[in-house]
Parts: sequence; structure tokens; C-alpha cells
Amino acid sequence: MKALRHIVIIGDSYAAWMAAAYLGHSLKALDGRQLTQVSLVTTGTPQSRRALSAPPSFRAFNARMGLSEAQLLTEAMALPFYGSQYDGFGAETFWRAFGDYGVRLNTAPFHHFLTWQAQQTGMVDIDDYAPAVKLAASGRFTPPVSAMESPLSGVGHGLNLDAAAYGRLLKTASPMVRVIEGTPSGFRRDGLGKVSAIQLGGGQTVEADFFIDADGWLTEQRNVPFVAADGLFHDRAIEVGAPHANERAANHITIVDGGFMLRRPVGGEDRIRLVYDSRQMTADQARNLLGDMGAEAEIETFVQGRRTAFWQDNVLSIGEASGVLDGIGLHELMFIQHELTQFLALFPDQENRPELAREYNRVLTQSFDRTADFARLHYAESGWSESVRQKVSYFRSRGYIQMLDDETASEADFLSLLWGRGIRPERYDRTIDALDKTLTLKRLEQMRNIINHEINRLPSFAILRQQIEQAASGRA
Amino acid sequence: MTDYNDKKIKRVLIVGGGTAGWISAASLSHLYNHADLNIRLVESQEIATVGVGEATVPHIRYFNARLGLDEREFMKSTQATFKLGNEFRNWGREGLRYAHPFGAFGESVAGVGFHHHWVRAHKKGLASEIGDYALSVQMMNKARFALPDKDPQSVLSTFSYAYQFDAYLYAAYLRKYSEARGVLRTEGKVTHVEQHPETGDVTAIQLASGERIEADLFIDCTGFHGLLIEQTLKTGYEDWSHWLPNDRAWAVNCEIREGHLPLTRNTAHKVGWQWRIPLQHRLGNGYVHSSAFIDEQDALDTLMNNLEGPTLTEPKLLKFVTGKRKKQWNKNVVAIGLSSGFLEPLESTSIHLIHLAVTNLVEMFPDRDFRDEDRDEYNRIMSMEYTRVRDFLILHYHATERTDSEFWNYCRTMDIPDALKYEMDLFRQRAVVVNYKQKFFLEPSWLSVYFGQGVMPDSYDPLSERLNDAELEALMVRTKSRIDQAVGAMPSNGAFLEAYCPGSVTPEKALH
Repeated sequence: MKALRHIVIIGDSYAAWMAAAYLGHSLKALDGRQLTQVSLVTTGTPQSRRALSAPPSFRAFNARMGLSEAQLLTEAMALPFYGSQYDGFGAETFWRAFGDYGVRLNTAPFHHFLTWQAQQTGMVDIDDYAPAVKLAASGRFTPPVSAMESPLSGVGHGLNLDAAAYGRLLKTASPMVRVIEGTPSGFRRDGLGKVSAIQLGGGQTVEADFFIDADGWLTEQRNVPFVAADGLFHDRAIEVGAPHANERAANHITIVDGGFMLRRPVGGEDRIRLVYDSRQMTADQARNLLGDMGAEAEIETFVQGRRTAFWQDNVLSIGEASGVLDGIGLHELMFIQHELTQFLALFPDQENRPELAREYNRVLTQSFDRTADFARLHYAESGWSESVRQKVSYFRSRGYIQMLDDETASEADFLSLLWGRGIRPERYDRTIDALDKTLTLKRLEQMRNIINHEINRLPSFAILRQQIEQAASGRA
Repeated sequence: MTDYNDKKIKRVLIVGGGTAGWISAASLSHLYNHADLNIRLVESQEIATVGVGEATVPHIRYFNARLGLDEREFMKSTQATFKLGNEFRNWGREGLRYAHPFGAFGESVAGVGFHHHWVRAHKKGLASEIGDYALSVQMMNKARFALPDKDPQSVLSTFSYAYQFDAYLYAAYLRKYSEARGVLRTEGKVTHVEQHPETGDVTAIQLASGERIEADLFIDCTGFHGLLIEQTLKTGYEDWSHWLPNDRAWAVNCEIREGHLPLTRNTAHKVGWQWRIPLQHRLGNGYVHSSAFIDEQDALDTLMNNLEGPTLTEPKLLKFVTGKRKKQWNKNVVAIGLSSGFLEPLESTSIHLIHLAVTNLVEMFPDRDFRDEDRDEYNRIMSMEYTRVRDFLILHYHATERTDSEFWNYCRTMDIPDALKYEMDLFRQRAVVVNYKQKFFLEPSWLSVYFGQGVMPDSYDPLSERLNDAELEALMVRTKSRIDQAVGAMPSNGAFLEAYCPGSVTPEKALH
């Protein structure tokens, strides 16, 4: 087994820096040796103004690169959030947050009790059983709670951050990554057809035994086919900053004609991102929707879909080079994290081992398609894939949430969205009928009371946000 | 609400007792309201049950806990012993022995799974055999036992255990449990099955006594015969015997002579293999073989010549075809147990597959309108589980160097399912075990068989090199020593069993 000598990452984006930092740190031996040299070719392309949202697991991912949450808060404009409020996606507003609903009272998944309660009493509010939603909606905050008996033990916060600031932080935290400035203009293949070097505009040649394309250039040059995602039509985005609108650790996503508007707090401001379908909304209409703030903002264009293979020969495509979705599922950082951890789990050596790429492509293309399905579930039924239809049909029929291989959304995510969109199970798990009705109603009430009691004791998020922003500005 | 109640299934009829029938009855009677769901079971003492699966896998403990069973009482009632895994002899090649434990090999270090470090250390001559780094393998090797610890910091958290018991007593135990919860048992032989003239659904059965029993949902636990699922509904069977050619098993009980080992032993012969399952009071033995490669008398002789003590019963011959029903749930009939399919007991999965079927049936429990989505999802999940267990079993036969018989030559050179080939190719390249959501046997199980049968990967995770050679060697020494120390402090399996279930072990055997 001969370790790779040199990996070259191409790109300027946060995805490129995530790859560089993650591999740079992961390929460092416990005694300080660098197993493989990691370099990043940067073209110096300015990055769009862009906020990103990450799930709770993102904190552990960064810890692996030696980055603490405090650093993310002060240097990547990060702010914690628990979930998102959705307006216009169903008959009523609803929430999706990081955490489960209720506690099992028998073998049936808890959400069957919601259907049961609705049938018994004529009313149920799913959010009453979701501590993370309560935290988000009430504008309160708690550091992670480890005591298993607490209703807050299953709750974690994600982070909203600024993509460019995060990229800069990763660069600072990864001194082992060699930065090469230049614009790729061509590439060379070896006798086996593998890429052996890329040529830069100034005539410089960068040789390596593995390449990671976070820019899309090398993927495009090598003609890796792209397949558009059926039923997902948004193809433009425009993002602006605005003063904080409220004091909640939460995002707010609102449907507008032809798209959606995502508002999320990052350090120092809120970011408002309008994502739309250019066939239904013109650029002027989009700018007008954002008012004065939108006048000068850059419009991003994209096509939703993915490459047919993410890893071919000795080139891996990551981030937007591998696939693009409109961001309704807040999946971007999670997906890159997934790509990098899977790549590391199947990390190649100098030998030609096509089995590794095959397995990577099997898992990642399937994960991408599942993520796309989760996005489709937000929109009109006409755009649903067969697998989404099946999921909805199972849930509607009996409250069953079908979880397949390589899902990227959790069961709670599906429950929030299905329920929120007004899809109600016709039946609940019959094992509930074996429980004492009065006692079960009482236990449900206790559950609601305990959650409320715990939440109401917590400090407000506003205080934390001010502390974070003061620390960040002090550092700046 | 009224409409929904009208649609609810009110009557479930389980046809066939035995292990599958009584597991189904016990689960349903525990989970559903007796007043709301009438559960009946029809069985005939004239029809012998197969009594599959004396050996189990750890999931049975969760299943028992769900029923609220007391472990000691359960073990006493079923003559149960502890099981830490399966021991395989002569599989990869003659003379080779390995264990497939219910436990982990070492622990991840520097973000890399232990087995990658072990492969590297092994290639460098810095490690002994992989089993030296699994607590449960050492417990098996030294016949020691202790209960696992929930503290993840403790080495005792790295293993699990199952049971070996008398399947007839297990069925009897669950019968008592079920009857106490309102299940009505009817003795009788089914003489006729009635179907709805339009839908083809089963509507009732008639017994030899003349009694006619109607139901909404039928659970077919009639064994290989598949009275409802096959004889009545003609569901069809997917035959897998070209991959798993064994189709016969001789079974006989004998006295225990070797002491109480916390394991099931599966010894390969020139054709097929022989099981050894120690219970408290006797030893279960069986010889699984292929009639295409050995005749019945030779097979019987092979079994009788390889017993460790005097026999206690007459040998019994079982015939089967490995495979599964094309649909395990068809119309209003759910097949559970041998009527749903058969996978040989090489990895003790029979009872687990029954538990799984019941658990999934509860999750998809239908109403009288029998919606397609309930049936389809049940069939999808069960089919996937059967198929993935099948592939794991095939691995045992295919990954062999044996050339001493036509049987092994066939198994070694046969075409295998694409999914298994995919998994084996990936493992051979880089010691990677594919992970699926519906996959009962996880990474440690696959590693046991791969390594145990001599499938060594070409390479390992390059990130293992994050440890230098000295750190690698220290990791191997530290892991082994921690395990040796923990096992050294444990009582013998026999002594533990006797203390846990007094009267279960004779004094001289407790020493082993």
C-alpha cells in the first residue's frame, strides 16, 4: 500500500476549503508527519455573498479540523439556530427543527400518538412535543443538555454562517495546505487516462496523483455527464443582508410567486436569499421583491441536478461541481460534509482500485437523489418523483415513514414536512388502543407540560446573540 | 372514527403452532387489546413441528424484553444456555478454526476502524490472529462468561449475547404466555381452506372436527408446506438452492461431554456441515447436507460418527429447499417462519427472521381493506432482509480453499449473486464492508467470516498510517492485554450459568 503523494484541490469556494482543511488535518499523522501533501489551486474568483446552514453534526466535523464552536461564532459570522419556520408551504405555518417529537410510550413511533390524540380529542399541535421547535419559536437558547432524563437531551443546534468568512477561517486553520495561485487552463493525462497534472494560465504545471474539483472546471473539461433534477425548477438566487428582524435562533422560509425567500440570522445581520424560477420571475421582479437591498445584488444562476458520477478515475467532484439543488432543504454544508467523510472512508492509495470509486458513487449519487426528493416534497405534487409519491402515500395511509438506504434527512425531518404540508395519516398504530385512554392522555399532557416548563426556564437567545456579536466585533 | 373502527381487523387466525406460531401469538397478544382483537391459533399434535433454531442471535433479548419476560425464568423454562457467537471449523480450509462473535474487534483509533490497523499490523508481523482482539472471541475460546456493561468506557460494553434453548420448550413457554393473554388455542387438523370467490382472500378454514373458523387476517405458520400461502394462494417460491445447495438435515440429541461452552459450533464436513448446540440438559446436533452430493445413509453415518456422547433421541431427517416465497404477505395471508422461506441455520437466523416478520407485521398491521402499501412495504423489507442474510450465508461456502470434495469445488467455483460479488470485491481491495440500512449482519460479522476463512484484503485504509509502526504495535499490545485481563477476571461459563440459573449445570461440568 503506497499512500497518495499529492492531492490537488481546485476552487475558491467554501467547498474547496472544506476539502482542503478536512483532508489536510485528517492526513496528518499522530506524530506530526503529513501522509499526503494537500494543495489548493485558487483562482482568486470573488465569492458570492452567501449564508449557509449546517446541522448540529457540523460542530463535530469542524472539531476534527481543530475548530471550536467559539471560533466559528467569532470568525465565520456563525449564529446558532434550532430550525426553520415555513410559511406558504401548507395551509398553515409550520416548523422543522433539530430534534425528535415526544417520547415513545410503547413500541409505536411517537407520532402515531399525534394521530390518535387528534382522533380522540379533535385537536393536536405537533409542535407541543418538539422541544427544538419550542426553543426556536420562543426565542430561547440552551447549550446542549447531556442529562438523558431531560426533554432537551435530544436537541442540538445547527449553525448559520457566512460562506466566505468560513472559507477564510478554514484557510487560517490549515497551515499544512499549500496554496497555489493561478487559473487552470488545461490538464494532462497519463497512459492510463488518469489526470496527471493541470496547467495554469501562467504556464505553471501542477502534478498530483489525485484531484478534487470543487470548481466544476475539471469536471466539465472531462465531460462527466450532468442530469437535471426532474420537478425542481428554481434556477436563480439573489442574496442580500438586512438588520436582524427578530430574536429567535431560527430561519424563516416563505413561499413567494415563482420561488421562496429564506431569511436566516448570521453574525451581525440577517441574510435574505430569494430563490426563484426565471421562467416565472424576471430579474427586475426579483430585485424589486428585495427592495432597495436588491438593487445592486448579484444574481446567481444554476441548474438543479447532478453529475452521473462524482468520482471518476482519480478525480473527485464535490460541492456544486458534483450536484446542485436550490437549498430549500438547507443541505449544502451537510452534503459536502457527507461527501468528504465518505471519501475519507474510501480513501484511495496509489493503486488503481475502481471498486472504491464505484462504492462512493453508489452511496453519494443515491444520497443526492434522496436529498433531491426531500426538496421535491416541499413543492407541488406535480413535481414529485415516484419515490416521493410512495413516501407520501405510506404516510397518509398509516403514518409510516419509509426510510431508505442513504437518506440524508431524518425521520423527524420527514415528519415535520409531511405533517406541516397538511398530510395527515388516516390510521395510527393499533397497539395504542391497548393502552389506557385516560392515562395516555394524561401522559401526553405531562409531556407537553414538562417541555414547556423546561423551555420557559431558559435564557433568551437575544442575550447570547449580543454576546456573540460583541465578541466577534471585538476580535475584528 | 366510526368508519375506521368498522374497518379494523377483529379476528386473527394463526394456522400452525411451533416456534413461529407461538412467537406470533405471544407478540400480538402482548401488543393488542384482547377485547379489540381476537387471536386464535390452530395446531395439530398429529403434525410434528420442525423446532427450528435452537440457537439464536442477540436480538432475541430485545424481543423478550418487549414481551416483559424475566430472563432467568425464561432460561430455566427453556433449558437455555448463553451464546456468545458461532465457532466455525474446517470452513476456509480443513483444520482452520475461527469464531463469529456477537461483538466488536478492538476500537477505532485516529478515525480508522480497528480492523484496518489490524490488517496493516498483520502484514507487518506485528499482530496475532484477529480473534485475539475481540473480547467475545476470547470469552468463547476460554469458555468464560459475564454480562455486558452499558458503560461505553468499559471493555465489557463491546459484546452481546444470545441463547441456545430447546425450541419445543420455547414454543410451550410462549404458548402459556399467549394463552394467559387471551389467545384461544384449538387442537385440530385443517381439512379445507375457503376463499372469497372474487378476491381470492382466505375467508375461513375447516377442521377435521367439522369446526369452521373465520378470520380477517391469517398468519400461515404451517412450515415448509405453506398450507395457506402456497397450497391455497399459489404464491410461488424463489429457489436459491443453486447458491445454497444443502437440502437435508439429520438431527439428533445426545449427552453433553465437552462441558458448557457459550457457543454454537458449526463444523464443515466433506459435504455440508454439522451443528453442535449445548443446552443445559443435552446437546443438539444436526448434519446439514446436500442430497446431490451425499446419500441419506452416508449422511446419517457422518452425523452418528461425530457425536460426543450417547444419543438421547432417534435421528430425524428434515428436507428443505433454500429460498423464499415470492411474496411473504399475499392477499390477507402473512407467512411467518418456514412457510415464508428457508435459510439454513448456519448463522442461527431462523428465530430472528420470525421476530423480524412479526415486528414488521405490527408496524404494517392492516385493516380489513388490506391496502397495497402495507403489503408492498412489508414484502419489500422482508425480501431485502432474506436476500442479505442469504448472501452472508453464501459467503461461508464460497470463500473457501477446500478442494477435497465435489461439494466444496462446486461452492468455491459457483457464480454468486451480484450484490455479494460487489461486496467481496470491495473487501478484497480495501477491507471495506458495505453498509445498508436493511442489513442484519453488520461489519464485525462480515469481518469474522472474511478473516476467518482466509479472505485477506489487498490493502487497508491508508489513514492507518496516521499511527507509526511503534504506535501500531502498542495499539495491538494494549488492546489484547485489556481483553486478556478482562477475560481472566470472569467466571467460567458453567459457573456463571449455575449461579444465574441454579440447578442448570451439573457440578463437574460447571468447572468447564
